[in-house]
Amino acid sequence: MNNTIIKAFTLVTGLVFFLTGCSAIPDDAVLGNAAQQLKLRSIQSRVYETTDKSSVLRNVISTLQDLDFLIESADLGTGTVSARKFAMKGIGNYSNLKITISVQPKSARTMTVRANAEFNNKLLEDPVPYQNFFTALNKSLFLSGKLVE
Amino acid sequence: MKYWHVKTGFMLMLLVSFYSVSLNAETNIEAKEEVIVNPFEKLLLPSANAEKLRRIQIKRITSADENKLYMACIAVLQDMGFNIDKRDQLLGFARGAKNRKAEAPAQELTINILNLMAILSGNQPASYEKDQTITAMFVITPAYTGRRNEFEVRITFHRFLRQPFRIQAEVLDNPELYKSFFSLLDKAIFLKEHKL
Repeated sequence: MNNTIIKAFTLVTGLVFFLTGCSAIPDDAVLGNAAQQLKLRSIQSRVYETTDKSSVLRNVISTLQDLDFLIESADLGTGTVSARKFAMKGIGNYSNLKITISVQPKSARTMTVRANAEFNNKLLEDPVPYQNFFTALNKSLFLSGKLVE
Repeated sequence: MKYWHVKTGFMLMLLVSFYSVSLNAETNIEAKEEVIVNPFEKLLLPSANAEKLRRIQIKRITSADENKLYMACIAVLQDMGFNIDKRDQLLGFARGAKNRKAEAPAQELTINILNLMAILSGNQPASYEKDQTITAMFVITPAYTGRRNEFEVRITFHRFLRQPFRIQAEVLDNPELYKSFFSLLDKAIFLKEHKL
């Protein structure tokens, strides 16, 4: 009798672990939406005629300072800058904006600058904010004599 | 006038259909004139006072050596009590932060009343955060004049304030703060260049 109870208990516990282990994580949350990735990449990228990666990255940092961001990391080796902007007014009324910029050589004379942003834990897919960012970056690169698009 | 009622009926139907078509057209024009507001259009736009801030945050500095200038900036941040937490010397970038108290006299009365109510109802009085994190970050860029020994140093100060019933993230825009930083930087450069 006792054996039957133990077996039933083990079976039920195993079943519970099995079912909870199967809680679905949507693929899109991890992999992103594959169909939109190509379109998004073109919205997020601009090509500049320059070979000076360091200068472009420095201007990226300066542009992010213009936009009131706090730089979280910057690395010349990988050509990336990550930043965060947290705006909070009162309690519960907040917005959280994160951005990563990568600067990579595209050809012998050009560099690709790609920005991807997340607003309130959602990927930003609207083209307008990216246009805003690149307008500000163009201005900064122009002021430093590096513009070029 | 044979079939006059059929002809009148046909004309009436024609008039009604013309009227409804023109009404639809008007409604469509109205629908087109509706302004569609994009909730993301203001994102990644510089703030209204960005240009003014840029002017007080940037200073052109002549220095023979970028590394010496970078180390002078770091020294000034340390003098101001910042702990350097992010840096990349190859990019001329560093960030420092410090935590300080942020007394909230305006909220004291409310806190005392809430704590009194908690004690009277047999609970522990709550503790409220009253501090702020001040962050400073700078980047050095070669000046657009193209001269090898001219650089632009840009410094920004941010504050994340945590007080009872008030949490606020902001860029500090007091020009005196930036003037003080650059004044200290001039002294630090002088000391570095004369190895004092």
